[in-house]
Amino acid sequence: MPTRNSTTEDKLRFSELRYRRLFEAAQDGILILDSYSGKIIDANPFLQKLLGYSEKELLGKKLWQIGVFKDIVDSKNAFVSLQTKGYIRYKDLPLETKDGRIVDVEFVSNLYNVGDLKVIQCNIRDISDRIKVERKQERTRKAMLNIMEDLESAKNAMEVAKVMDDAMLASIGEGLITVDNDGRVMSINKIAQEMLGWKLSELLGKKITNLPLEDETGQIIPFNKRPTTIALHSGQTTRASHFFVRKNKTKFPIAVTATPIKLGKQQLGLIEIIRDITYETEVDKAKSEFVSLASHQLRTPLGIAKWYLEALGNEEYIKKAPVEIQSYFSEITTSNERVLRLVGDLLSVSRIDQRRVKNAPHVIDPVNLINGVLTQMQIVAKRRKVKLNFICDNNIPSINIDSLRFHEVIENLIGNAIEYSKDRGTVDVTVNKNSNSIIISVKDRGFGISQADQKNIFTKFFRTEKAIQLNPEGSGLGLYVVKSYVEGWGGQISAKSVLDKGSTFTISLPIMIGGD
Amino acid sequence: MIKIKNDIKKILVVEDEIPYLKILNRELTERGYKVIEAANGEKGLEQAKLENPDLILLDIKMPKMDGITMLKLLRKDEVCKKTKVIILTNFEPDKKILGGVVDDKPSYYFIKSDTKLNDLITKIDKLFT
Repeated sequence: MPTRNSTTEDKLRFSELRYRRLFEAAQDGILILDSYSGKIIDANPFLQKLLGYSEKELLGKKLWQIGVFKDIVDSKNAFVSLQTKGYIRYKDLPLETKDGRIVDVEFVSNLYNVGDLKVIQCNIRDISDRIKVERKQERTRKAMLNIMEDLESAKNAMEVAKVMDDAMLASIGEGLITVDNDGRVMSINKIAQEMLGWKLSELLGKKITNLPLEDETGQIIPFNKRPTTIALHSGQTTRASHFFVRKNKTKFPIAVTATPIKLGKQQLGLIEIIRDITYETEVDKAKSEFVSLASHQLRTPLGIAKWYLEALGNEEYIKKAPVEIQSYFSEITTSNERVLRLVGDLLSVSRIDQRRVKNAPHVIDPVNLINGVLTQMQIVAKRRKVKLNFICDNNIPSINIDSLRFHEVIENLIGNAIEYSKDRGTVDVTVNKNSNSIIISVKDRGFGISQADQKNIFTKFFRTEKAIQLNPEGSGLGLYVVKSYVEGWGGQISAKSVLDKGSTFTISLPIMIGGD
Repeated sequence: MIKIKNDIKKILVVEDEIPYLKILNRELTERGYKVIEAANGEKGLEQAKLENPDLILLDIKMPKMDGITMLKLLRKDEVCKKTKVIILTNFEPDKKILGGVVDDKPSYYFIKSDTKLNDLITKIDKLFT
């Protein structure tokens, strides 16, 4: 250990010793080169370990002779530049180790004098870990950039799609409104704004159900019967026709289709498509009025023929006429009745379509009425050799109903059951009740209706192949009329049928039918 | 049906279709009623006031004066305001067409093409028993 009295030589030795320790313990690679020849004079253990060369392999060699530098020419040039400038620094220099690995280093070289000797000290710091991180960061950055680019192009594509959607929505001929789950307007296209007489700014965020909807008689459609409310609550597409009252109080008929917007199971709101059906309504009305007028005109001559045929039928010369004459006479009477029935059906349909169904309810005993219809139908049933059964619960209550229409409904169902029964078939008419309805079903064991036809049987003028074959003169209006009446009374009708096994038609009527 | 002379009931038929008039006249006369004819509402009202019939069979759609107008005017007449009326028409008892007269008690309603002649006569006979 040096003392305060140590000699210069001691100091020098001490300095060298300290240098040696630092040199050997350093966690950076250190190389000492002869600046003149470029040969390695010294290399510390860290560097030896870093590059995988022993001290022996390094000492006395020129840097570019040991293969750590890829480019010998560049290295020579760099050495020349270092000799002149006295300093050189590479932030990131890849070196090749003895076993062929690449290590990234920071390379700093300084030229200085040790006595007369010019040496170059190269400090070599292993930065491969940092570089690895930096490279990873760079890869991440590039990946992020790619994602951003993708997002950007997706965004652009969506913007294009949105512009196209907007253009499409603006140009379709129907009004389109979107509302949220509270029925508040989120968007409304131009057509809808023009049609309804309200501007986007006046409706945005407002409840669509605050805009007045009326029926044809001018009665406000109650909140819970509005298509928006029904669709929002049921989650089902809902269609309805009503009258819309514009901002300026004018009215026009609209057809609304409200379709829930769903994302998976979550309902986001509704799309409402609104169509102005003024023209269709007028055409329908004109058509119905024509049918109505024509039917009345037809009834006069047919009615006259009916009474004259009846009067003639009571005369002795017809009663005692030859069988052939009597059968001709009967054919004429039957045909006349058939046309009258068809005209009656057409009138009923026209009244239903014009929503002018007469409703003159009074309290009746439904069992009595059904009994009456059964008695009246016995003649036809006997002709077809069909047995009519009446099964009825006790305590069937009276109902307040238009008896003529009710008669028409029951007659129609029983008539069909007989018509489409097989010979010697049975028709069961059953009446029972539950807490708030009476249920009437008419069951035959006849030809039945195919699954495909079942959904159409309540459609106006629809007839199944079998029906056409069995009864070519039928109008296809009966069940349409029946359904319209039953639903008009707040009741329901359903049909169950199996081909070749028979059909059951069931109507349920609320015990408290409101009259108007 | 045999009727004592002074008990013969008078029926006024107001109808513009001649075939209907003819057959009703024939059938009712055969049953022992006295039939008076009128071809429209205007004539019908005249005859009603003049003859004070026991029953009026009244069509609705007629030229000059329709049945509804005639019925309304008839009900304003002191003598005829309680006269029994059967409306015979091919229109249905629609509120729009008939207004309040369907509820007018001494009136009955038949749709000609849905009604048998025999049922109509039975109804008329019943009105007088």
